[in-house]
Amino acid sequence: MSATRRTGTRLLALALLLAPAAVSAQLPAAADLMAAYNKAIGGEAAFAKHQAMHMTGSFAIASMGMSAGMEVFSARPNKMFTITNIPGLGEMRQGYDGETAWCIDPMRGARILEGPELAMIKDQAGFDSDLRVMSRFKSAETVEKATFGGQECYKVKLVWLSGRESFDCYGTANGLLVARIESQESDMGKIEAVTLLQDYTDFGGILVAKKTVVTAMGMEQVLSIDKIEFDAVDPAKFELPAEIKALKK
Amino acid sequence: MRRYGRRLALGLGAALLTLIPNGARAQDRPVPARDAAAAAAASPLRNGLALETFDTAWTRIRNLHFDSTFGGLDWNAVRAELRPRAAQARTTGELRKVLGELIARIGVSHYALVPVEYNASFDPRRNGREPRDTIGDAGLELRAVGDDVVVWRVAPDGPAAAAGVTPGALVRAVDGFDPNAGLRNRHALAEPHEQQLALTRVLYGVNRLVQGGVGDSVTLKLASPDGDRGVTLRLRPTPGQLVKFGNLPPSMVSVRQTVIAGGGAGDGCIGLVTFTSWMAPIATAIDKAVDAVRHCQGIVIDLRGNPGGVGGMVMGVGGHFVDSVQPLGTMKLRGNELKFVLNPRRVDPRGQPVPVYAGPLAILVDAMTASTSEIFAAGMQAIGRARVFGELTAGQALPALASKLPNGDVLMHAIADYLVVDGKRIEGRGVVPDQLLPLTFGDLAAGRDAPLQAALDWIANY
Repeated sequence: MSATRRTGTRLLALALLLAPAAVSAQLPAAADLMAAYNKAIGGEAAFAKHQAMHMTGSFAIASMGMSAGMEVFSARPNKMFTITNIPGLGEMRQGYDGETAWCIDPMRGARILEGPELAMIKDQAGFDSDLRVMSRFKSAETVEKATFGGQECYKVKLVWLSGRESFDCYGTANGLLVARIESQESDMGKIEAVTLLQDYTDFGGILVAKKTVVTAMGMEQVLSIDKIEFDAVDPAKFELPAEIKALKK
Repeated sequence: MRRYGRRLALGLGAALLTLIPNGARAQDRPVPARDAAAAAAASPLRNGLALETFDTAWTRIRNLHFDSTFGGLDWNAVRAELRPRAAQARTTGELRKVLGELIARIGVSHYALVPVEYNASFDPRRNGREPRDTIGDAGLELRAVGDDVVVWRVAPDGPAAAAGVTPGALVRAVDGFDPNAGLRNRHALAEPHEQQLALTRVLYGVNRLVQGGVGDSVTLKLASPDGDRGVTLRLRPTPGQLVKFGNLPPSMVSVRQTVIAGGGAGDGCIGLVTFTSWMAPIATAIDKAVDAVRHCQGIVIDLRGNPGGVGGMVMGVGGHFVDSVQPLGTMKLRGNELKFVLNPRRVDPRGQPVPVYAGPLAILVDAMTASTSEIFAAGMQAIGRARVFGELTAGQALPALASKLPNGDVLMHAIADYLVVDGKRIEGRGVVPDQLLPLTFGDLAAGRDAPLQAALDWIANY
């Protein structure tokens, strides 16, 4: 079955699954929405086929007139490394090797992330963390029907094991994640952000939002994925840079 | 791009908010500014563009201005009043007049309109010259002593020096414009902060007049004890590194460090670090400059004339001088607060541990020290890590965005207020130096840099 047909079949099945709830005007259970979403993006089986991934894409902050290429590397169980080189700014790197989360940018230098920042990275760094697995949350509750980016969706309040709260909104039409509403932790404080996930595309059997629009602090940031390659990531990508090793001493 | 990329981009957006006050980008006067501006002002607007541009500007400000009350200003009434005039605008010049009035109504810093032809004038496809070959200056800096604009500094290898211009000369006119009238008129303003704002505007304005395109000429009318004279200077290429940041026009920036041998007690040296603006491409150069003088007994950072730049840079630069994470102040956006936090710099870019600089730190400021520079000076002063020498600063410190409008112009608009860690506001107040040392004719005549000397003396006796 081609990736396109496989995707179409999944979405049709999900639409049927969600239809009774919509008709009865009852809010579907959060667990059902999350299970439907997991199935829609490929399910655990699709993720299990891969050990690592390398995304290539770009991000743009139109209101600032800035754009740059971006690469994201991740590997099981929870390693990640992100690099971008912004014209007029320089190279920015961020990583997590499963123990130490860090960030290096030309404006602030090298930093080891701690406290809420580290907790958030831990929440997000699992290779399968795009799957909404109940064991990662203290609770999940559907709170209302909402609209984001012109799409109707069911809004689910999530309480993560770390105690952090966020909201997902799952499309009533196809069960895919339409939006996330959450506070991003940073050393500068919490940054309230609304993230719209658009243009879901099949990469290696996993449906991924090819376009992500993040609105925060009055700025709209658009992140676009050009390509995802699986299982061909050099493990050295996740090693701590010399600056971070020195900070740990 | 999944969650990691989003996280990196968010942190970046917060740190990149621009802090450059209105009209402070003195090096940005584009080469063909006068001709191009005149042509653009007369250019007709296509149907609907004026209203589309006006509505975009008005709405952005309505949605993002940090004070949802607009200080008591009825923003809807402003729209009702000015929108019909925008609708009647037939040329770019007419539209800009309305937009200028719109942003002037808010009455705070960091609101400005950068005409599209300013950026375009740096485009080599249009003028056949690379940006670095188009940005020029006359090799001198101007300041105020009382109600007089004077020559403050003269670059030894610049056109002004070659023409015999020396510090202390009174500036009667620049290209026929009398800057001193603006200084005198400020006394009619009721509030001290209004007078300070007027002073800063005059200084930024007159310094902009002695900068421009390489090869352009500027004529100064100078007065000195030897009598009045006119001098015409041909602008040289401005030295430094070309920087293009987002929607702002390109500019030349530079970093310099000097080791003043024996400046401290005994054989100790004192390091002097100067940089022209807070632009991220020179962050590494600033780090290297600090590293080069880290061993000295004292460090002086000269922020005189520094108009600001990327706000987030204070967190890294200030981190060279602290051994623990410390907040410098808070950006208050509408519905969100973010802190500027110093990141202790205990390692260099090669991964080598470096000792935290724990010695005395002096910061030099003047009336043209603005925005990010004020945030740095005020914050370091408030946490007790630096002593500030010089003049009252500009009092213009609001984090802002530079957004493109439908007609191509760039709207700079403030989206946050800023409070120093001690709760004080910088906007409209400025940074009050610990040792207030206004520029004097006596110092200029004697070739004495009083704030620098006071800082050196303080370090020597630390």
